[in-house]
Amino acid sequence: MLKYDIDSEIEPLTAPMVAAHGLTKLFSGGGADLRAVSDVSFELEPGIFAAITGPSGSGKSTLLHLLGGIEKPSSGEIDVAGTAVHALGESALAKFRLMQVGFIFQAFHLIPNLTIFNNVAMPGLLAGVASAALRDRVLRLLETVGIRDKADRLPHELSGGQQQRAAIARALVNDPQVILADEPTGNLDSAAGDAVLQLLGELNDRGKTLLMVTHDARIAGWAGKQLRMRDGRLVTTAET
Amino acid sequence: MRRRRARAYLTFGVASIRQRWWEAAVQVGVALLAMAVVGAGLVTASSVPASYAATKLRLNGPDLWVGTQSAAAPALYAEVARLSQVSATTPMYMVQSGVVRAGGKELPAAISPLPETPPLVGSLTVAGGAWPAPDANVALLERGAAQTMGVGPGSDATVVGGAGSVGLRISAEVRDISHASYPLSTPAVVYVTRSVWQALGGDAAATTARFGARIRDLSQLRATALAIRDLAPAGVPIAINDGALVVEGLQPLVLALEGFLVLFGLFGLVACLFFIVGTTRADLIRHARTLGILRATGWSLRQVRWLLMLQRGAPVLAGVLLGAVAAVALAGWMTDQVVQLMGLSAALDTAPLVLAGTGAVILLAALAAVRLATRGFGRTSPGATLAAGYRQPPSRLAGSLEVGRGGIGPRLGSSLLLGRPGRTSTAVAVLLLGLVTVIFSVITEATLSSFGSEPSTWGYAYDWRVDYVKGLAPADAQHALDGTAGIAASLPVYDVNATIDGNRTDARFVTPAQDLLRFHLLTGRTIASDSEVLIGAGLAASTGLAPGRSVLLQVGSAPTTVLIAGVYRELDNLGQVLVGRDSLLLGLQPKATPAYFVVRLQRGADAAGVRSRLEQSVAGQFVVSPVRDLIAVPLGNVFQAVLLILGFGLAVVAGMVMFAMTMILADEHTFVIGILKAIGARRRQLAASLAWAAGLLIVPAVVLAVPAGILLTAALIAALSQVVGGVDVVLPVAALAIAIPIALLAPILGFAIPARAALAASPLEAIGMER
Repeated sequence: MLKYDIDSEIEPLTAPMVAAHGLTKLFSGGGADLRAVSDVSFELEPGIFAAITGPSGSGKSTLLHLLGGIEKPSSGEIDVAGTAVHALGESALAKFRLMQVGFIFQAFHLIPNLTIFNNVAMPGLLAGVASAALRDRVLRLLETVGIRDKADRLPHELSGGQQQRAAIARALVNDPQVILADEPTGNLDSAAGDAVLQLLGELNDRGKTLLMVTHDARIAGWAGKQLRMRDGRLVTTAET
Repeated sequence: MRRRRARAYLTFGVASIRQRWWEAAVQVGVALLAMAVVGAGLVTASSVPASYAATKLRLNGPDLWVGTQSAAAPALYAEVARLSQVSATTPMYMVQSGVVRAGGKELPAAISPLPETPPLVGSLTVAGGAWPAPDANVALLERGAAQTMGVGPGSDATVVGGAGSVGLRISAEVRDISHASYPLSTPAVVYVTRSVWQALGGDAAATTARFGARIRDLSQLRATALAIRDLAPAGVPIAINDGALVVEGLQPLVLALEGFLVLFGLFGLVACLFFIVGTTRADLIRHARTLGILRATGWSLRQVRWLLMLQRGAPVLAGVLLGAVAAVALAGWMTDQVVQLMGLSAALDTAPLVLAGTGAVILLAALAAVRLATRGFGRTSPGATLAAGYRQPPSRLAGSLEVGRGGIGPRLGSSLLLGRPGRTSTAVAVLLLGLVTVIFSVITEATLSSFGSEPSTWGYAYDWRVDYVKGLAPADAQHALDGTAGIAASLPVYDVNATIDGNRTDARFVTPAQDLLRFHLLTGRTIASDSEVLIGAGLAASTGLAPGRSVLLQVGSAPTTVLIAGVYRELDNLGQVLVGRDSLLLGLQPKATPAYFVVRLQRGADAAGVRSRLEQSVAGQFVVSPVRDLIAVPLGNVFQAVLLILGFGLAVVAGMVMFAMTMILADEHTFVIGILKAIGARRRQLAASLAWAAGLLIVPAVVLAVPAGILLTAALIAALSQVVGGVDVVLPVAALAIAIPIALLAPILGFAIPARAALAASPLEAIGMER
């Protein structure tokens, strides 16, 4: 007699795009360990727009850095787009950051020496994308984020909002499945911030999985799911 | 209020220096070196004449020296003593021509009796022994001669005089300010006690005599000299000179030494200024937030600039003060080396004004460099500085990174550098300066080592100078030379006193022989007839005589008109020499006898065996001096020591500055490295781009530095050649091939160490370094 496997019946059709299990990050220094992220576990399905919220010092940026492979966890497991990030070595982590996630920083972190075109092209160059294809892709992305005419400018010649748009274009150039944004509107006025959020929303509409850190409840309202953190722990997960 | 502000400056200044102690250390080191070498050069130049003045004062030395034939000397001496303008005279020193043999060597000697007690008006200092008793069987050897022979107090010697030979002991070295030291002045000066003098034949065996006179009114020095000249009987040669002639004769070499030091010091100063500009600009970025906080909390731009000036000025001031001490020590050593050549005791002219002036120039230049580096700082508001830091806009040159050309390494590397062309060009300039300094040191050292060490430098193609004692007839001497196997050629040289255009000088007459004597012409041409002469560079410099002039030449009582055909380089007697054909002399003085012979050996001949046979053939009446003993370059040891110190010192300083500049450049790229790592750049890719950046810094510097260093050195050596005469540049390819890579180690490490640290750091740590 065949047994009915109830678990297989309820298993999602697709695996989670982002998953964390027992994730902990300790920072050492000053004679005491700081537990920035403590035993965090969650799963996000593909194509979701999630916000990590919480007060300053709650560990939300550290969590994002762990998910993006910029920091290594002290313990726990991370799975992003089918990759066990926690198990990757230095070189594999770099490849993961290059191809599978796109990072958007609060302070934009564009390379000041390079033109906007070159800043956006940089991940493609690092990935060895063919020149002609890369040029087309960069110009198309700049068109998408609305700064096509700023391609030959240097970062300091652009407004904050324009710089953040360039950073978004850079995050997309290798067509990653997951976009990680750390307070992407933190350095922008409300109009520029709303425009950036609009842009992120459009990306999410096109199927990108988006994980955004913010401490602003209004901005978090743009996301479909909120992960609330306090003192390094994930306290609630809520659909919005 | 002012005190509180000073305390605020001090607090920040000390904190900054403690944080970047190595930057302060480099500034102290470079300022110290610049101050030490410039100060030492200037102080040495003024200390040489000061040493003469001090030694002359201590010895109560004469203002004029008079030389004449021994037979006429006593009467002339008595008449000079009676002159109203003359306040005192030295004892009269009779001079026998002879030989001194000691330590297995022999030198032609000018032998004089030593006064029984130190004279009231003197020129002698006995070093390393007491003033000997009149009946002691001893001799005192001039310092340079003692060094050449390798003997000292207690050594046994044989002195061969005009009428005999005496075995005795050298009791002491003597310094004599009336002569330059041997071999600058030949023959070697030997003083013997009264009893030895008598054993050698006494005054009767003397050929010349000399004495000194003190003048009451120094403004009447020339008039008194002319009056003394008029006292000499007709036909009696008389030589009168200022005792300071020896100092003046060495002045070109002293000036060359000073020039080297000042030039090296300026290299150091320029390196120091580059470093200050580079580190100041880097600080404006590194400490932008701190400076923003200062401005936001009430510090004015002027006060911020004062703070930056204090941070740089304090180490430079410390370097200048330490450098002044080092300058005095270095000048003391060099002055001692130089004045020893003239029998003087070193008296350091500390010249506080010179040192203070030099120090002030270095300090002001450092402060001006800070002012230059902070130009443009302050255009950003304090708020903007606090928020984003002070950033100079990157250059448009950075746009050269385009898709489609080259690999990521060269494109990213060049873009990193071109984005900050100011910083990059400063680093390249410092590299260039450091490499040029190293190349300059290596080439100059090789050139000076080569210069003078070969007899051909001085025009000497012969192997030996052969003097003969009075008892041997010149014809017999020539016969012995011609008959000795192993001797390829020999030539008599006539050496007499002469007057040219009213100036007393040594005159040398020879048969033109390219195989034995090759005159190194500095200007003009060779002698084409009996009525032409060449003059030494020293004589040309002191008299202003130049090629093309027809002048009166008087040898003995016979005058003739000669044309100065050219000026040549001559080591002997500091170039105070003229040369003509022996047929010219024999036309004037048919009975003239050669003073010595020059001899060239057959190729491959056993020099010791030939010498032994030659001496046996004339029963030891020859004095053979190998030419290499005669060509010790004056101040050669000082030049080489200075070059060694400066070459290593400046290479180390240049290395430190290059290390610091490339370190700052790499440090600034840490932020970019962090971003690149965060967006997925692999370590290998970043390492490649940094390697390209380092290459793009170093390769242009090397490409420019090698020709620039060679051309600059050649130009400077050509300038030196104008003074010293005919110094040919030697290009030591092998030494340069070793020195340049060694010099590049410091900047490569300066780039590699911080770059490696940045590559190893986590992306967030690297981004967080943007302060």
